[in-house]
Amino acid sequence: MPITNRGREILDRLPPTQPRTSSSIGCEIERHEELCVGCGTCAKKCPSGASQRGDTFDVQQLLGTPADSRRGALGAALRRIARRDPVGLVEVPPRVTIYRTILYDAERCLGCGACARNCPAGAIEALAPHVEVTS
Amino acid sequence: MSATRRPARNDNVAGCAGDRPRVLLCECAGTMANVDFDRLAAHADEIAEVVRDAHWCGREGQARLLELMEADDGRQLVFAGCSNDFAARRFQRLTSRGLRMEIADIRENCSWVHGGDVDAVTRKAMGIVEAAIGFPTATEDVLAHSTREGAVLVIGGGVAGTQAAAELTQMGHRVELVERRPFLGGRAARIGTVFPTNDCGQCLPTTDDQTGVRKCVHRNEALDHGDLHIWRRTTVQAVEGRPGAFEVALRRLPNIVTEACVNCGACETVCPEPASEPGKRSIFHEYYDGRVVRTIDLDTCSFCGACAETCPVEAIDFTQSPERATVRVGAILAATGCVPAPREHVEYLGYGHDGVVTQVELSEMLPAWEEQAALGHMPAHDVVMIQCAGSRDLRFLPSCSRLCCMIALKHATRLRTLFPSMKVTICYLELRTAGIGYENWFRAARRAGVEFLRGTPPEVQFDGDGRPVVEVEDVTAARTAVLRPDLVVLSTGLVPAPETADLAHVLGVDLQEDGFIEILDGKNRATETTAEGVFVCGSAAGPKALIEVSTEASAVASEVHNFLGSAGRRGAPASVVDAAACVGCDVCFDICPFGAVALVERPQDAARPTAVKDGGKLAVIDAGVCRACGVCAANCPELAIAHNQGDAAIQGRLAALTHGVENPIVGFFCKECAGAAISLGGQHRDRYPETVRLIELPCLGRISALHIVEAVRLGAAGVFLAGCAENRCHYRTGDASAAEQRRVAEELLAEAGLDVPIAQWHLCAVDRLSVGRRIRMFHALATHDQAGLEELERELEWIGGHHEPYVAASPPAVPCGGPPARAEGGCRDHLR
Repeated sequence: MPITNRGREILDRLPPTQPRTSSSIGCEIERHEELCVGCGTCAKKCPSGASQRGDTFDVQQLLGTPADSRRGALGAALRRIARRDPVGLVEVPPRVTIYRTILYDAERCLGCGACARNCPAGAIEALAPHVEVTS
Repeated sequence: MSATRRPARNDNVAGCAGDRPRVLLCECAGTMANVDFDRLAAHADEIAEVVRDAHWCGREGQARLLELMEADDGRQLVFAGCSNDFAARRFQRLTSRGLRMEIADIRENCSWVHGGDVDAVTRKAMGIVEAAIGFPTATEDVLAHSTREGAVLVIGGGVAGTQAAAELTQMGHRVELVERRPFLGGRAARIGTVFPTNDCGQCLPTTDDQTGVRKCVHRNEALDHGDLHIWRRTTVQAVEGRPGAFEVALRRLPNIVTEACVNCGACETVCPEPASEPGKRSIFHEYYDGRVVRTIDLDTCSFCGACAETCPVEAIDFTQSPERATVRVGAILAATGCVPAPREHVEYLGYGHDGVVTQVELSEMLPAWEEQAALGHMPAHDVVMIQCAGSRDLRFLPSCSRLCCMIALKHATRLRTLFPSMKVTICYLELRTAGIGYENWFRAARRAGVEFLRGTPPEVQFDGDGRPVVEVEDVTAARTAVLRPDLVVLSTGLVPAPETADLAHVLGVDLQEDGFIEILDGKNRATETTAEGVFVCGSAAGPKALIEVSTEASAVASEVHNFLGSAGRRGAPASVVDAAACVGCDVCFDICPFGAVALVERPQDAARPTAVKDGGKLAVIDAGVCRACGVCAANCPELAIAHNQGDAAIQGRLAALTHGVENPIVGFFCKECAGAAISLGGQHRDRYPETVRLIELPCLGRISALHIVEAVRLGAAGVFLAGCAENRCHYRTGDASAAEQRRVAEELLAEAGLDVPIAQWHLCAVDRLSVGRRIRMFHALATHDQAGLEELERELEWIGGHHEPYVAASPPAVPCGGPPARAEGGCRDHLR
């Protein structure tokens, strides 16, 4: 449901074309996992629980990210200090607030863009929605 | 699309449900000849009871109005006549007795600004009256913060804070004076003599029960008032509550030395640790406070206990520990002052080498130099002072600190008086000696033989012996001067006290770019911060001389007194969040200019939109802080915020006003500065076409892209938004929000293929003579009226301002940059 109430009211008042570039009527969320540092700010800001902090941390996903990203740099550092290859998911204790895999559920997303506005790593982008206009 | 849809009656308005509203139709003593009042009355009679009078504000008219008021049958009153401004003054006595009327301005917004086309003018008047009846916005005043604590928290025990605290206690308030250091008096008490009076800076004005006009901090009994609680070594940890009832958490470090101290000084002779301040031991005294004379520097003390063993009166108690306390206050005053710029600002001028000092360091050296002078010695033969060291410099401190010129003049004069054969040169760019008695210091320095060299060096070099060499372009003589002084004195700038940023965060106040506390209004509210109930005085808001600090301290004491004693702030009712529509995003939280919105966990029993599955967040507006500007309602993506002038009312008014008009021009204007300009412009009777329809908003920030799109849907050929002067929004960010909404609307309309010009203007009362022409010009451009443009051009040619031919192009998408042109001929710029 990426269109906001106000967006719907505005679209009702415009001739049936397809405005797509304006995120002011709502937005679709695109996550760039390679930039995500797992801090959980998006989960904290998300009003609907579409973004949630997972209980685990996928080390292999981290190691697989390109080295020129923030997360990749972290992975490279980890590779240097690791004694053996990590396997599977790592349980993260509840009090540790960062380095978790963020679970994102597009079905629950309201398209408000709060996560994109607040993401410290710039890993979330709010895109204009694809509007199906039936005249 | 139903552009000619008749507006529906808004039956939800309190006070008129079921009853027909009553319209008081005023003919303004026959000055509205272009309105057919019979037709207007007949039209209004369809939806309301019409009561006509030729002159409602006359004696008889007001008497009739009083009767109607006293008959009070709970019916909505609509006054159709002059503007809000004019009516408010005319009916002031009745308003103060409780009269509430919705104003339908058919004079300044209609009859007086239009020509003789009776049919068109009357139809516009009908629209205005219909809009006012159907969608009234005149709301009752509500009182915010009617109960306030009487106590005040003053942060900072410098001259500003101490004087304000003393004055506030004299006004009857309990004052909690918090000082981070162990002693009061601040910087002024530590820097020796001060200008413009050339005596020490540690005096405060006396109260009536003391003789003389001033006394030192340590002798002034004003500070011993029973209601003045002094918290030394105390910092502010957290602030809770609302304006008028804050709860402030404080943390106090122990002084270790108790009040039993008799100031014998035995402890200092045995202390083995040097303090962080030069020349002091870890246990040290300060002469200027008097109430506490001695303390321990907790950063350097090794807790060896030698002092406690030596003390003859057992006044040193190491068992004390830090304590936390909470105080309840109604207002907070930040008086945290300023400090000299850090050394990084002046290292390019050789600071750190021998022979280069700052003015502050020179002032600390001066007492020793005085002794040298008495012995006939001269510690330096040639002194060069460099002004604007690291200030007015975009690399370091962009601003002028205002005091450094005077400090240099004071020190230079003093040096020449002490050592008549010393060569003292001041390298300056401009000497800023603006203030009462300040110029005398410049003249005194000239008479004393101080040399002035216009130009400041880009760097200070050092020769083989380590002596400073100053190569400076003498601008007046147009040659390069090479100076080889014994001592270079740098006049450094002043920056905020280092804790200011943290404190601002705790208090919720904004900072200026240079880190000083921002004042609420650049012109009118110099002692208020951006947070209600939090005040500022002295150098915390920018470097100030003592005379200004003292003036501000008195001013802020009165401001705080007024704030605490007032009945509360009157205003329109606060906006309300509809929990059933709020999804809990952070738009309103981020955008509220007054910090009135909080995002809270949604209570279990609260309504929620179906899309929100979990509890999630809910926005809540603090009615006491909200000023009802409508910025949140305009930006809410879910239309979940109800403002007292709701979306339905604005859309209803739009429909009523544009009904049956071909190519209307819709103008939204704020009731503040733009309202003044338009209402005064109407009294000036500057004409514009009848198809221009105006809608008043509380603040331009109330405008949403939705309203602009709706106006276009109803057939508007152009939309203009008129707000206050640039960056002078009465609600701080309304114009910025409107600019953003305008941009969104432009984008959406362009994508929908609708080419409708949307302009945003910054108006204030000085525009009253040009606002009519500006509207006319916008109308001509928007409707591609070539004849109108040519007429305007002839008119402007006659005024003598503009000669380029006008091009009826769609206005550019960029908002008006820079200050709007005020000249008569600058109208075309106004449209951008």
